[in-house]
Amino acid sequence: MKQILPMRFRMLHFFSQTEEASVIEVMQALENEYGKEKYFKRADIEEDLISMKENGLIDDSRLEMDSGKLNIYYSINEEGMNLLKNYLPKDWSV
Amino acid sequence: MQAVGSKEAIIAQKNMQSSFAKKGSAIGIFSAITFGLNSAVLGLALAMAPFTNGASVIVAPLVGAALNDTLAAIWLFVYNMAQGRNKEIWRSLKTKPGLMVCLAALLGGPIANAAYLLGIQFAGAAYAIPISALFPMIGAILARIFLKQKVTKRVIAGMLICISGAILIGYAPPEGGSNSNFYIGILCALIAAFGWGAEGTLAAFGTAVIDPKIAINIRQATSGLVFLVVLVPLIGGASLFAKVLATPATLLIIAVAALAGAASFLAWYKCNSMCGVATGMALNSTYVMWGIVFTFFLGQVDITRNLVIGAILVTVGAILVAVDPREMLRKKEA
Repeated sequence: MKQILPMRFRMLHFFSQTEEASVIEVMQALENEYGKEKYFKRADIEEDLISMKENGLIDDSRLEMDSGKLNIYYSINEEGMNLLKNYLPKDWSV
Repeated sequence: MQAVGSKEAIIAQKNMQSSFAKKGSAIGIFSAITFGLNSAVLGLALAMAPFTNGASVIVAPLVGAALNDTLAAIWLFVYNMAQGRNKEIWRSLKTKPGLMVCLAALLGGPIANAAYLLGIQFAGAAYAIPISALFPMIGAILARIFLKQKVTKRVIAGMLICISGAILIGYAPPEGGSNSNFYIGILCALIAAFGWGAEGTLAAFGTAVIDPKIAINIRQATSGLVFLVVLVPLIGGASLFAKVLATPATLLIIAVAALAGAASFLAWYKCNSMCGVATGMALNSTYVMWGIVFTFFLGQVDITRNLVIGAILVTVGAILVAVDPREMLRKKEA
């Protein structure tokens, strides 16, 4: 079995497997792995995404208003891909 | 590059980014206030038995720091347990970014603390304190090189003002007489500045993919463990350590200091992760002033002209780092 990654790390990995995703898609994709964790909450995950963007690992690609709520789509950039290539554990790949 | 979206969505994102940055700055200032509280309360404990019973100026603060970091790690572990995050600690330790947080802990914990105290001992406070106060500058330079983080002129200017204020607050007139270990002392002070600066950069790298709440728990646990297992025995502090454990009143005060320390470090790592290393470190460096404020209320310090001018400089610098004056002017015009 693959080693379980810290959730923020796994989120960055998820972005390497998809063109773009918003917090909703990220939560759907990781539900099976982290859904039972107490900290698997939309507000926390949104903050993780903004922090990853501020740290230059993902970019925002598209913005949508969904019934008055802002929905941001993010995609991984070169810096984020390099981090994964250099620091992902061996049993994970991009 | 601006993301594609309707005008309404772009405005909503701008507002969200601005409130995220403000929240980050507030967390950074909170980290400085609690760090000031931590150093003032720890100072109280260091003025109590058994620290006062003839312990050396190197051994006493290092034993204090060992207990402070270990107890802070325990507080943070309780906090992470309550939030169901404790599993993330082991997951993080199995990754390279997690191990970098451990390296950050070694540099910023035992190495920088020991170097700082040796610097004061060998070169004197007049030289060692200002040199070690340069750590935010070193952090900003390392983050620029290794993390490619952009640092604006405004943040650099604010940081320089904060550093000048911190130097003025910590200023002690040079003592006369020659000391053959003077240059070793200067080197130690430089190592301390480098250790703290490198810690911010390495931790920011780690927290890009590890939750800051977990990273800081790993940091305090690593630092506390290395202090206890390596440094305390090395400096002959084991018997003082045992005596502190057998003195409940002193231990309780250190536990209170460690609680403030845990909150402070948690906030510092979070701010670095939200706002970048330069902003996080500059805001954190204002702790020198908060430390004086708390020490004043605990009745342990006289307010001098240097302290007042230093405090004003630190405040002006921190405001400049945290708030863009142009943005404030724009708001007034709107």
